[in-house]
Amino acid sequence: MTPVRVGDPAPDVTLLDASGAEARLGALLRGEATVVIFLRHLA
Amino acid sequence: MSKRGAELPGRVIVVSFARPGRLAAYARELDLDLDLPLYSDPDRELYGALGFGRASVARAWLHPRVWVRYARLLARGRRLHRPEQDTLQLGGDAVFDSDTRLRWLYWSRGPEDRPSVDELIDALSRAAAPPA
Repeated sequence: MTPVRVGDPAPDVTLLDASGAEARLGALLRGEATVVIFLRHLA
Repeated sequence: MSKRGAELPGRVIVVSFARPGRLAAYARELDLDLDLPLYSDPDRELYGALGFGRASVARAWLHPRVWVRYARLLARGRRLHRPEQDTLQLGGDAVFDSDTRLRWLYWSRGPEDRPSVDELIDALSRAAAPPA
């Protein structure tokens, strides 16, 4: 996948919710400014 | 961040690379606001697209700031356990505008490294502002 840079559209990626249902990233973001927090895992 | 929800000029979603079945458990372990939408990126496609790399073992486990982070977690009652996830995978924070364009991006340099809440709110405010 081509790296995304500031100013680019969100990549066309599908995420999964806790039930395993698919959600398109673009649909999650559209319509309102959104901060996406990407977790890092600790011990 | 969730404690300042009323100040936010936009919404917050959380993404993990943990499998969907582990999301709720992680949210509890991390003391996340369970009302925040939480999604899984198990193949790390989005992590990769945004350039979130991997830390070295030394950076992820031996850096003094990491141990300060663990000390704070322990002081708050967190119990350490054998990692179930890839602790070398780095994360970050991204802000998108209402047209889904990426407006701001923060790459973590280590597992403890995060932007301040004020930085996130400022980036979100700029993304939410109408074009000049």
